[in-house]
Amino acid sequence: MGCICALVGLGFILIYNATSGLNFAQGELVMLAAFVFYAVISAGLPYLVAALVTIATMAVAGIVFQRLMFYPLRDRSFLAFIIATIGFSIFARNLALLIWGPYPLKVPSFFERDVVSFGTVVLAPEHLFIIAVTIVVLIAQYALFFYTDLGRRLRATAQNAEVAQLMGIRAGRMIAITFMLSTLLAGIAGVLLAPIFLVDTEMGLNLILKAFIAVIIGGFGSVPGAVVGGIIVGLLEILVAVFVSSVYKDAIAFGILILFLIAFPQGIFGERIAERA
Amino acid sequence: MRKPVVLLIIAAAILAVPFVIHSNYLLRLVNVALIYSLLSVSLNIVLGYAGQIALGHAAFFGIGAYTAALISADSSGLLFWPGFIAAGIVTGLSGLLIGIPTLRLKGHYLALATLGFGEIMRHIFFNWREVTHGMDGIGGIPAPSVGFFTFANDRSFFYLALAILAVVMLATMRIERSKFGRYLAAIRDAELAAGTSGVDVSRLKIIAFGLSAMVAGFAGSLYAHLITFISPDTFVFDVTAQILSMVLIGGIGTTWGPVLGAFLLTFLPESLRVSQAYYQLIYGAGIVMLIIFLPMGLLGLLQRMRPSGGPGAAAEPQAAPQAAPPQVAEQPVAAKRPAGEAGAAEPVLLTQGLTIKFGGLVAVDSFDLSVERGTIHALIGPNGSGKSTFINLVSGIYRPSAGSVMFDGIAIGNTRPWQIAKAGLARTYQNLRLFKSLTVLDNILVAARAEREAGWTGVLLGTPKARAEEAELRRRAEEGLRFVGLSALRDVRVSKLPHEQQRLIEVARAFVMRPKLVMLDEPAAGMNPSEVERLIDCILRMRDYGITILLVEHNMPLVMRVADRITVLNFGRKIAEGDPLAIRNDPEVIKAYLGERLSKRLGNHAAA
Repeated sequence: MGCICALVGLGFILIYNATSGLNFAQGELVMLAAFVFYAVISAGLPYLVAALVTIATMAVAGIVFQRLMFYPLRDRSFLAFIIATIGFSIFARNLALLIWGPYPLKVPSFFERDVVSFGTVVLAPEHLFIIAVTIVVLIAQYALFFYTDLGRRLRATAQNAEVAQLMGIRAGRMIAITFMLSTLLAGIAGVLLAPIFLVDTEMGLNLILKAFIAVIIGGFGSVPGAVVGGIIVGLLEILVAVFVSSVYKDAIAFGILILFLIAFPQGIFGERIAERA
Repeated sequence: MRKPVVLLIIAAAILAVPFVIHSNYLLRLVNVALIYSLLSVSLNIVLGYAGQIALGHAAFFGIGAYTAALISADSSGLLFWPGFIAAGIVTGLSGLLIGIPTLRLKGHYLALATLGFGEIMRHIFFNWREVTHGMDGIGGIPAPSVGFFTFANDRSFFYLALAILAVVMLATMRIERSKFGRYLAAIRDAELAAGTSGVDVSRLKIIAFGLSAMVAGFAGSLYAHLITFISPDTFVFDVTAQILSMVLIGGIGTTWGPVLGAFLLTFLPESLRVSQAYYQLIYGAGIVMLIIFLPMGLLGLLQRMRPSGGPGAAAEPQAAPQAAPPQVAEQPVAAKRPAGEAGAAEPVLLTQGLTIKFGGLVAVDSFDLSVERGTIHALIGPNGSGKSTFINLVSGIYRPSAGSVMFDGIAIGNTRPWQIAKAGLARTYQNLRLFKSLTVLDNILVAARAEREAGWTGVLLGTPKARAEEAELRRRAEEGLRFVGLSALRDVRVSKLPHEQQRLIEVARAFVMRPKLVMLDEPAAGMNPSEVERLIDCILRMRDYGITILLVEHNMPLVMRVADRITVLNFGRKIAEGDPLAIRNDPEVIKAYLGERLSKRLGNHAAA
C-alpha cells in the first residue's frame, strides 16, 4: 500500500514541480487505470498484454488531459487548475459509475500461489511484486531524469520554463511529456492495485488523500520525499490498524497530516514554504 | 430615485414567494437553495475575497448540523437558538484550528489540510456512534420556535432562512466594502505587497477563514432543523464540490454571484430530471468548462459587459495623465522639515554584518549600512549584486542568516513584514506588485492608516468611529494621489494603466503610509527621460516631507542627481561608500561595473 501511495504521490509531485499545478485528479487517474485494466482483462487479453495496454492508454490519456485541462489554464492562477482538476475528478468518478456500475469489481490475481513464506513471515506474492515494480519504476525514473538528454530537458523546463524555451527546448512538449509520465505512473499504480483491492469508483479520492499525506510528510516538491512519505503512510496505516483502531485508521492518518502541517510543514525533505519575493 | 423603488419591488417579490409557490416540494427546494446560498456565500469569503482555496466546507456544514442536532434533538424548538449560536461558535473554532497552522504557509497547504479535515470529520460522523449514532443518524430535530410561534412548515421556515441569509449578506457586504474587504482583495492579488503595505496577512486570512467556517456552521444548523434528520452521508466531499461550483457559476468574488449560483444549481437538476450519475457527470464537466471558458462566472460576465469599472469610472486612462503633477495644495500632517536639519540623530536604518545564504550562494555578505535621517541614500551595484535581496531582508520578506537590522532604534531581524511596515518602513517593488483587480484609489487605500483604527465589530455595525476612519483613510489616499499627480485616475483599475503610472502608484502607496523610510527598488526602470524627470521631482518632494529614501537604481544620471550618499554593492559585499563624486571616481567601482581590463585601459587613458 505504501508503494502505491508513493507512486501516486510521485505522479502528483512530477506535475507540481514542472508546472506548480496541483493535480487533484491524480487519484481518479489511478481509478480509471484500474477500471481500464479490468475492462481489458475481461475482454480476454493475456495478463501482461492487458497491463501494457492499460499503461499505454493512460500515457495517451495524460497527453489529452494536459491538452484539455492544463494548457488553457497555464497562465491563470493556481486556483484555476486545482478547481478544474476537481471538476475532472467528479466527471471521472461518475463516468466510471455509469460505465462499470456501483459494485466493486474483482480483477483476478496474476499469481497462482496464495502466499509466499519466509520462515514465519507470510506474504502475498502481489505485495512483493508491487514492491519490486515500484523499485524498478523509481530506478527507471531516476535514470530517465538524470542520465538522458530528455531528462535534462525535462528538469530544465521544470526549473524555469521560459529560460528553457529560450535555450531551444520545446517547453510545452516537455510539460506534455511530464503529464504523460505522471499518468503513466497512475497507470502502473492502477494495474498494481487492481488485483489486491476491489476496484470501485470511490477509490480515487482515498488514494489522492493518502498521497497528499505522503508528500507532506516527505516534504512538498521532493521526489525522494514522496517515496519515503508514501512508505511511511503505508506502514502507519498497518500499525494504527493493528495497535490502535482499524475504524479510525484514516482519521488518525489525517490527524497526523495536520500535526505535520503544524509542527514540520517542511516535511522530511522540505521545500521553501513561504512565497518568494 | 429609481434604485430604491426597484429594490423595494424586488424585496416584495421575494417576500411573496411562499404565496406564489403552492407546491410543498418546490418550497422545500427554495429553502434548500437558501441554505446552499449561505454555504456558497461562506465559501466565497475565503475563495473569492481572500483568494485561498478551502475544500472542507462539507465538514463545517456537518459540524454545524450535528452541533445543532445534539443540542435540540427530541426537545423543544426553542433550543434552535442556542443550537444555532453554538453551531456557529464550534465551527468557527474548528475553522481556526485548521486555519492557524496552515494559512501561514503557501496557498496549497490550506487546500490539502481542509481536504484532510473533511475526511477526518466524515470518519468521525460515521464512526463515533456514541455521539453521532453513525449511519443511523440523528432524528427528531424539532422545528425552530420563538416560543409562541413555530416555524413548522416550509412556508414559515422560508422567512427564517431568508432573514438569516439577509443578515449574513448584509454583514459580508459591509466587510467587502470596508477596509477589511480591500485588505482581503490585496492579499488575493499580491500577498507580499499587502504585507509590506502594513496588512497583517496571516491574521486577516485566519479571521476570514474562521468567519467563513462560522457561516457554514449556521447553514448546518438551519439544514438540521429543516430536514429534521441528519446522517453522515450528507456531509461528504460531493457537497464541497457542489458549493464550489455554485460559487464558480455565480461569479467568484462577487457579492450576489454565490446566491445566484446556489439557486441555479438547486433548481437546474430538478428541471433536467436526469439520474444522479448523469447529473454528477455533467456537473464535473461543467466545472471544468466554466473555469476554462467563464472564469468570472455569470455575474462576472455581466460586469465585464458593462462599461469599464462601474459607476464613477468616467475618466479613461488616455484622457487623464497630466504633463506635470500639480503642486500639493494641502500639507500632509507629517511635519515638513528641511533636509539638512536632521543629521544629528541616530541613523534611521542600521544593518550590521547582515548576511543571507540561499543554499551555497551568499547573496548578501556581512553587509553594514547606515542610512542617515532625511537623506537620499542610493544603493547601486551590477545586476545580481544583492540589492533587491537586501531590500527583501529589511522589509521582512526574507529572514537573515546572520547579522542584525535596526530600524528607527528597534531590532527587526525576525519581524513579519506588516509589523515592519507599521513601524514606518515602506517600499516599492522592482517588478510591480499592485493589487490589480482594485482601482487606483483602492490600491492606495490599502496602505493608508488612520490615527484611530476601527475593529471588526465597528466595521460590521457601521459605527461612527468606523465611518470617521474610512473618511480619514480616503482623505489620506487622495492626498497620496495628488502627491504623484494621478488624482484624475482614481477610479480606474490599475491593471489598465501604462507602466509609468503603475510605478507612480507604487510610490504613492508607499507615501501614504507616512513612513520614516521608503525603499524604492528601481523606480525608474522602463521609464523614458521625461518620465524620469517627474519621478525625480517626486523623490525630492518626498525628502522634503522628512521621509528618508533608500534608492536602488541603475539609472546613473538619476542617482548622481538626487543621492546624498551612495553605497556600492558587488557580489553581496560593500565595495565603496561615499558622496556621488567620490563614487564616480572610485577605481573599485569602475572595475565592478566595467571589468578589470577595461578599467585599466581607462586609467591609462587618463594618465596619458
